[in-house]
Amino acid sequence: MISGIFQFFFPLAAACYLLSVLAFLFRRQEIHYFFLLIGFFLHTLFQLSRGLFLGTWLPNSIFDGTYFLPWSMAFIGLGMRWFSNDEKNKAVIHSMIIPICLFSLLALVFPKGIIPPDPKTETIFVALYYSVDTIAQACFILGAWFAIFHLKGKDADRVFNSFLIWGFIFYSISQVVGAYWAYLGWATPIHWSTKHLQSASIWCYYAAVLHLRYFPTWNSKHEARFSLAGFFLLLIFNYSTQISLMSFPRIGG
Amino acid sequence: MIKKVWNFCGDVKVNFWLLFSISLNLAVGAYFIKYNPKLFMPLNHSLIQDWFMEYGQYQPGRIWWFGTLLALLFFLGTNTIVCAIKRITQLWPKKNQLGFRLFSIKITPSFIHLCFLVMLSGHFLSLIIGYQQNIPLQLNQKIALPQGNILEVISQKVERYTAPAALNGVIKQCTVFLRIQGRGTTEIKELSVLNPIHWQGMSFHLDAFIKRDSQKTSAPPELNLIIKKDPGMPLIMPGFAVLCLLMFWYFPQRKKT
Repeated sequence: MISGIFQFFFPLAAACYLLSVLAFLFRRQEIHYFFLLIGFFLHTLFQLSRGLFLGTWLPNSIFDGTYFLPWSMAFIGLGMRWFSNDEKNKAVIHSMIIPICLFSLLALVFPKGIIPPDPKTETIFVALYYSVDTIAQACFILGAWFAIFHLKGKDADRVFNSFLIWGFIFYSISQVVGAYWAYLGWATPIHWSTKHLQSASIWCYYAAVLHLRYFPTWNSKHEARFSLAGFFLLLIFNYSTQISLMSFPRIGG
Repeated sequence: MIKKVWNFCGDVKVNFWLLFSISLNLAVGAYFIKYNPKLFMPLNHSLIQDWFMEYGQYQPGRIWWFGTLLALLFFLGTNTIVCAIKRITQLWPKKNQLGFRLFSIKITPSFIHLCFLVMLSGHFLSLIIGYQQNIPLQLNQKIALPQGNILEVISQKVERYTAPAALNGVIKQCTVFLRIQGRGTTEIKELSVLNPIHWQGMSFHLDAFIKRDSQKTSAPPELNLIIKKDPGMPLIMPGFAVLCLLMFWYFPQRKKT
């Protein structure tokens, strides 16, 4: 019953994020922070309710990238506010609400129903794979956001590079978990399918970007530009998968 | 001349462009696979040379990216080996001077690269060596295994959700019971989806095809038995897992120093 009510919280969370963006743009920091917290709280309830939506505990639904991606971004954003002592980048950290809001609004377009489980998804590795994969994507997206500021000369500490590194580590972990899941289910760690090749493409792309620093003529602006280009690659691959998943039958809309 | 080739092979610029080209190549491959599923699907349960003889050779316009991918991966492997050797030979004489901690940090990228090579070799072995059979399962069916062993499907079970109401009838798990007859031994094994069994160096996997819109029908799912002997698997998973662990340690340490 309660989880049914929480199902409707996502549009409210997205509205709070939008109000938070407006407050940020009008430099009303307290209001901006207030709406971010409320939005994150409602968003968290929504994510948890997805796991209980059908009356049985289905953790895979919680980590559906459409909704879990903006949640991960908000989680990282709040974590940086609470734990980072980086005074120079304070404005950039606060501006993270903009991509959080954009991805939340984008999620409103996608169906919120749950794809029913099947024998191949009845394993902890599915939840683990999707959660770590989405956290990695959140890092890459936020890295691209910070890269914009770096190109403008505002992210002097190259925070975007830390995002790329952590994104790459999480993405690699997700690939290991995904490979093991594929081995258990399909007897092969890599499946010759569009999704697997796109994942491998993203992995190689960011591996290449992380090698840029060893160029003799390297400067961090090159890396920032590649980080931005990586964002578009990720966006195309990620949302082409999301769009193809729209044709799957779902329960709950 | 040899030195020039060696330096070119171990150039980090070459490494960057190889990784970048492979990324692009994989993206192109993803496009071709999407629009030619019938051509590439058999690659998932065949060795590459068998797949090429049966399907690939007749469609060069659609598989060219596969050839370039293998060539690029080969060059990446070579480049990684040379880079790792160059770095290790440069760092090793300085190990006392650098101290244990700094030396460990500096040498770690080379170990990461070696793990990557192990993983890459594993994938290569999986593609070209081994044994794989994909068989649609039927009850009481007898399947001949290598070395004169026989496998028989003695029963199967389909478990469905009974609650909650929204999932009533949805397939939860499929299980088959197998009798495996080796030389003088008979074993009964239970095999279910995502729970493979390992026997005499082979692994047995159960694959269930459930049509998306027929999840709730009472029709049994189509079951496929995959019998596999994959010499690459023991290299791929540990190689990739250790690579992740090393990165998890290395990057924060690099930042600190």
